[in-house]
Amino acid sequence: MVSQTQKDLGAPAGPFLRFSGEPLEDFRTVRVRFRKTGSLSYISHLDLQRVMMRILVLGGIPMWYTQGFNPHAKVVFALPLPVGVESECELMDLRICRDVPCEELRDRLNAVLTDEMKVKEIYIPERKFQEIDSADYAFTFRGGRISETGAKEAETVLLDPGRKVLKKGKNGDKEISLAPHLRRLNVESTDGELRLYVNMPAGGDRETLSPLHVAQTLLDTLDWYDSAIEADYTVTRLHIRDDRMREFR
Amino acid sequence: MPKTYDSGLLRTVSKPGRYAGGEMGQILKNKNSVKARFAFCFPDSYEIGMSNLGVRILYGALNREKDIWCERVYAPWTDMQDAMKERNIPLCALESGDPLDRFDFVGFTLQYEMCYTNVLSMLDLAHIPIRASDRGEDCPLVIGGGPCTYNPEPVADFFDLFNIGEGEEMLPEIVRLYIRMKEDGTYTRKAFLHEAARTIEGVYVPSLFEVTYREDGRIRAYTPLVPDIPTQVRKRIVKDLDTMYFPDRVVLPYIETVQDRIMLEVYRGCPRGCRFCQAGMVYRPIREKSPETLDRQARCLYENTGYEEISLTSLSISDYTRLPELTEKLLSWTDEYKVNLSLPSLRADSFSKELMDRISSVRTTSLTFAPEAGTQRLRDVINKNVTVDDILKASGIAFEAGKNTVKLYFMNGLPTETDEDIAGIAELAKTVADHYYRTPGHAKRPPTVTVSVACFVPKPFTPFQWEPQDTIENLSRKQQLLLEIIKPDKRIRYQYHDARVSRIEAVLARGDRRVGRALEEGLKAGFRFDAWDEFFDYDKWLEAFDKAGIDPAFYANRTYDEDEVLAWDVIAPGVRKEFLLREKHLAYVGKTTRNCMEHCSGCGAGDWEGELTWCPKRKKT
Repeated sequence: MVSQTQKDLGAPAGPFLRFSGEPLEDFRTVRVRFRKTGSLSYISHLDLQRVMMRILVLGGIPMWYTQGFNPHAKVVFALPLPVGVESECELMDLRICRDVPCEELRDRLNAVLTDEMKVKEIYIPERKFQEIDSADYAFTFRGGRISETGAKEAETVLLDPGRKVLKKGKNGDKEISLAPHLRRLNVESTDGELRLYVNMPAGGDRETLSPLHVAQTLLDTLDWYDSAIEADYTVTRLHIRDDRMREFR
Repeated sequence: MPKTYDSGLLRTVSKPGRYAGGEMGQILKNKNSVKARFAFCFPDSYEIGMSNLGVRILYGALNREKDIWCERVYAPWTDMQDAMKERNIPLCALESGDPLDRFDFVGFTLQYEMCYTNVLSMLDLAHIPIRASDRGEDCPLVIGGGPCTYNPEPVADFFDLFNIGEGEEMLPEIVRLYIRMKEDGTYTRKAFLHEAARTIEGVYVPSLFEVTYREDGRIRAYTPLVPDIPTQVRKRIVKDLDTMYFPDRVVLPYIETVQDRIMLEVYRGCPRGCRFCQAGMVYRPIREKSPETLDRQARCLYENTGYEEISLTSLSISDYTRLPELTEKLLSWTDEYKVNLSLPSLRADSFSKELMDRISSVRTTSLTFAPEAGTQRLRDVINKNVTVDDILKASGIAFEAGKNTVKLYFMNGLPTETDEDIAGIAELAKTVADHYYRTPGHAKRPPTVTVSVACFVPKPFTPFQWEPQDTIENLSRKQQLLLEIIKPDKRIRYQYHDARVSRIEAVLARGDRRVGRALEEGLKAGFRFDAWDEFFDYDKWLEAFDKAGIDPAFYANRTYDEDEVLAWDVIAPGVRKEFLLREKHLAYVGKTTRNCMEHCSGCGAGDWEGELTWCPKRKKT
């Protein structure tokens, strides 16, 4: 039997386990970089937040609780991921109350997590989430009627200066030019598969677009699939970057 | 990790997390090395199905067997169903992503009559023939269990086999028999069904019984078609709950479900004997778990789930004989770990200050009590054994503890009910609201008393199983009457159920095999999610009955004769018919029957396992 809870993995996790680390005077903020892939890519940001709280308990992470009337743990996520998009680089900040090495925290979380959500690294944050500038995305389209010239067609469509996308918002829908949001666009097609890499502005108070706007534009304009249900593609967020295009940390 | 549906499909439907699988705690096995595959289907949405304790238990009980792989299936929401039909995509199981027709067993749990249309639509989505008689040798065996199978007749033609009673032991036995017969080469569909009915207690194979009818439409007889099976199917129970299999982990849903918490089953059965209540009759005899077992299981579940709430579940939690011991054990660690305790099924007459103090140290939801009827006369008729004083005392404790809301459950259309009883509901709610201001230390906010009124549905194996349901016209009139009396009082909130849904529920609850034809008509007309108000269409149901030649009034509004053969007489649930009749007669003279903790009324459930007994005051019979 392959079961994905910690017991089978024999790892030292679980909410009843005590940490050796000394209590901290206040709290310490640590940053977690984790995956959100496969079946997990279909859950909303709100659901992820709820599930994450449970995972932190399951992993026995010594969370720091706010000292108010209604104590609660502090967990802050960097960039909400649209439903249907995978990620190799989700970031969240936690406050812990004990002096436990980041590696130990990582191992305890990984002991309870499935591969689809593995923690890659836990570290002390270097910059604030407000300083996030952009994110890299990789798209793979499979099957359908993607031809040899698919890459060229896709590039032409996406970089057309007149191309606009509809952004839905609380204060009504808006039409936004797509091309200015696409940087370092690179498209290649091989063996009926089309791969597309792009860097898009992210975070902050600016107007940003979702990678799904890119996919939707291609599906709407190019006759690759008979219907949306047939459209077999993945989108993955690969990197989050700062304003100098370095990996955001 | 295996995939379920393609990304394109998942991106086009609402809440795709329902269909993506991959949750933590799911059980994956190598499909080539197991000997039997079981698709456990819940005929309602993922959010409801994932919350069901029975599914959690049986999923674990089957998967505990190394060579059996049990997977989960829920009814796809309507947008998903439409998309699947459009592209001819079959229904698949969440763990492997394999279509249902590749399984050995497709099992449905029947929790509520209004889910029957989802059973049919799920079979249809899975490309499995609806009628058992149309299924070939390679088709999965479609089996059913759960509370509705105490009268499975309306869905009898769609199932190969039913489990009557508790499944922890019976279900693995059925699959084991299948594996054994496959291995020794004796398996055919027919031979297996016969052998299961012959040798496994609790197994009911409807195709092995012939039903004949009288000219007036009533049933003449149930006749077994083979000589060596029991003429009446005895329900199965688990004898010892302390040693019974209990799942120490659950599949953790990624999306929010209805009961997203630990459910700790404290005991089975109910000592009370309310005369309308099917659960209180068919889950007898009472069997308790010890506080030691419960505490161990709660810790284990917390360790494996990280849930922040433990709900103590049973039919009437405050009747658990060792509740103080249990709460003490649990509170010794739950407070420290910020885990809340909730007690969802409180009775007004056994709710104490002490209990309130214990649970008020953690967050509690608003308190709910179920007087069921508005006057003492009617409460005596239904054997509710709760008085106005009990309700005031219980609400007073809640008010004193700072709560200002109480929810009261009632039923309309109970046998012998008059308009006076309806007015009594409003009267009782007002008395409770008035009591708020008379309670010392009540909060500053004004009180809110929520009155929620359901419609009485006569259910099999209750003393009221022979009773007619009130007509829709009369039920609606009573609902309006109550609305008018309550309306001027702003402290009272009033909710009531759609009487038309209750009428269909009554037809399906007391129906016989012929009613299945209406369900087939319903499938043709696209019925699904009839338990959801937004999809229920009463006129279409009437059309389906009409096409099937079924008169709903014959099943819902008729007084059944005491000596008439009932569709569910083929099942023996523990309580005897003589007991149910006696209780019915006592109801009509307004006499109550004491609960099992005080006195044994000889219902028959205590005799279930020879010398073994659970009933505290059991009479030798």
